[in-house]
Amino acid sequence: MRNNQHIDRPLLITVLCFPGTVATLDEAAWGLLIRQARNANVLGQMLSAVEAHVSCDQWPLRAQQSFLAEKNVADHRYASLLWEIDVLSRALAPGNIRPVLLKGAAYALEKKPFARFRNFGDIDVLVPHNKLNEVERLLLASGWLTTKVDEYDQMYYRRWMHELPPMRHIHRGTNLDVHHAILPLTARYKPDSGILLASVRQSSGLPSVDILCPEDMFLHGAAHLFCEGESENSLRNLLDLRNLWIDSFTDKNSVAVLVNRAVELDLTVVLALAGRYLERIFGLKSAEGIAEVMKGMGLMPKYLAWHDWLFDAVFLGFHPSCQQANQAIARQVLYLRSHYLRMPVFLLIRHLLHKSWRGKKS
Amino acid sequence: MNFREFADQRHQNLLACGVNLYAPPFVFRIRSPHSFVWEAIASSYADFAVLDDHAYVDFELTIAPVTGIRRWINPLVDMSIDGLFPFDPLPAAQAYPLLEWGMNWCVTSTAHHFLMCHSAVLAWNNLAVILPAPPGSGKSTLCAALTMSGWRLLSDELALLDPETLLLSPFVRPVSLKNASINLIGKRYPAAEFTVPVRDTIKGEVAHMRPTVESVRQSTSLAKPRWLIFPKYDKDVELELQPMQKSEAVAELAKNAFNFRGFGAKGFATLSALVESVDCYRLNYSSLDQAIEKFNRLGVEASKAAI
Repeated sequence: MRNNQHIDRPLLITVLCFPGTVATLDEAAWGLLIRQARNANVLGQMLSAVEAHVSCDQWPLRAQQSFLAEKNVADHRYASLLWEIDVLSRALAPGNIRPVLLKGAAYALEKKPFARFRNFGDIDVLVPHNKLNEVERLLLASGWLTTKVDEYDQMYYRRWMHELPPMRHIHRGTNLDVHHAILPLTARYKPDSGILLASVRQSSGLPSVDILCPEDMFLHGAAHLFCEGESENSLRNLLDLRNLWIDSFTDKNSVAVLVNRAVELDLTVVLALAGRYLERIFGLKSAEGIAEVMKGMGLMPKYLAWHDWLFDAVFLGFHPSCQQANQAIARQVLYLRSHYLRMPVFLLIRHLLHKSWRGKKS
Repeated sequence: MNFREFADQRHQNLLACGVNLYAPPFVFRIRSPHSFVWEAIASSYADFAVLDDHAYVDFELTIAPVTGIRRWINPLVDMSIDGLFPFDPLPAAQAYPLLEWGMNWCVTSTAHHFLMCHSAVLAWNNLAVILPAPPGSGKSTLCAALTMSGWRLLSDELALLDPETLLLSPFVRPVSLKNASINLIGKRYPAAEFTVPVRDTIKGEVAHMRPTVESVRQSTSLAKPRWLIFPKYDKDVELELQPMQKSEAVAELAKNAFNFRGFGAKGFATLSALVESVDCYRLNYSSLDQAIEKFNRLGVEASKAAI
């Protein structure tokens, strides 16, 4: 099904698509734009994109100050992240383990321009499954403690998930997720971590750590966005995909390589969804190439359009000015869908029953 | 139009749709169906400007009853700040203090074009005194007393320091008083206007004092830092204003600066430059009369020196 049904874009998305349109905004609209961007966690990224088109001395004073505020904290946040990754790689060095940095941390390491203003919640790393015990031991020795003390939570992560229970540094409070796979062991789609790890490359920013190859970086971002239920950062994560796309995949040949990689990693469905929403939300025409190549190979999933009522609701944002009637229910459905994709139904029922029983107890 | 005129025109129902309150340097769009929230705002922001729909709005705050059973039984209210919910719901009676805390949160979590310190700021002829202090040190009481004694209020909570110019931006708001301070200030200054006290908040009993008309009138004029004073209320002590080493003052002030860590090296450079440019003291006091007299003397001397 083609993406020809039009959607009303909120101001924020219009400006992300066409930054030059700010020239037509009055003061009230500028205020709204900044509030929408703050809600979606993309304020600094949006303003820096706008600045490339309309110089900031033409903005209202308050908008200029908001940009200055973002700049004041961005540079130190960025430097702190790089420092933290360096410390992490030193902690793992005695075990000869090279962590693979994922998502935000990887974008920052590679000095992607869009990473300068991006917020980082936690640091995500990927390590080989057979090194997990060693990694955990070395991290513990450097002050990284688990945040889950409950026995069931520990079991849940270790038996079924794709990561150790989240860790936090005892002094610095930094959050760390140690992954051995990019989707849960029990998940519907099963990307093989061996294939990912075989194609990593040395980070240009820090020689002691690795990053995924461009195809895997994009596919991981898409898998995270379309399989996890974290809806409040959906637009930010889709914006990441757009930036990665523009970096690496605008010619036909590279799209074919990407699709083949998705086949190898069992991620064709999330790639198809990424293509659909990059075009639908950001009007990124070249992303239609994904559907073309996939159709040519007979890989295109059916019923993709069915997802629109779910994903439109979260991508269009949660600012009061963008609220849609189905938003609350779409969020719930996405949460359930993420669990459904995460584990088989019988396991899921067991897990949710346990959680609700424990909830009552406390 | 200011809030007093606005309220007189019985626009109360408009609060349900949203009112743009200008508390320089920020504009808050406030929405609430509760008439007691409206009355508290009308009392404490009487002299503040209300802006029309063409204004640039920085933050949109909505306080409304929660959905579900707690809407009716022991009712709770929830505050949305531009679609985010940074606070847990609170009993409906605490809606107005919740709004005040929410307005502070808006600024401390976003306004990083300032270096922000947790402190009261007052001025004497545009020379400012910064009073950083942890809760319980009597900072708000002292701040309210100085405000009612002719000092210009810039803020009872937040020093907004421009890192480039080292000037302080006022953020005039009602002064939040707790427990015994409410009566103390009320008795000393019969002209002071308070919101109806709210009991059993996380900070105890809370009431908000309307800032003086003069403070509101000057709420866009920047002030130059002149003194940095760390106050400590201590029952039965004689007043003592002890000069403080600058190195110690920087370290102490850094602990009170919300976004000091986020600023990195620039934060340290800014605080150092600020401390270089002011006189630093520790103040121990038990009597407000003595303290006010001391502050007035500092103000008069500095004004003379400036001439």
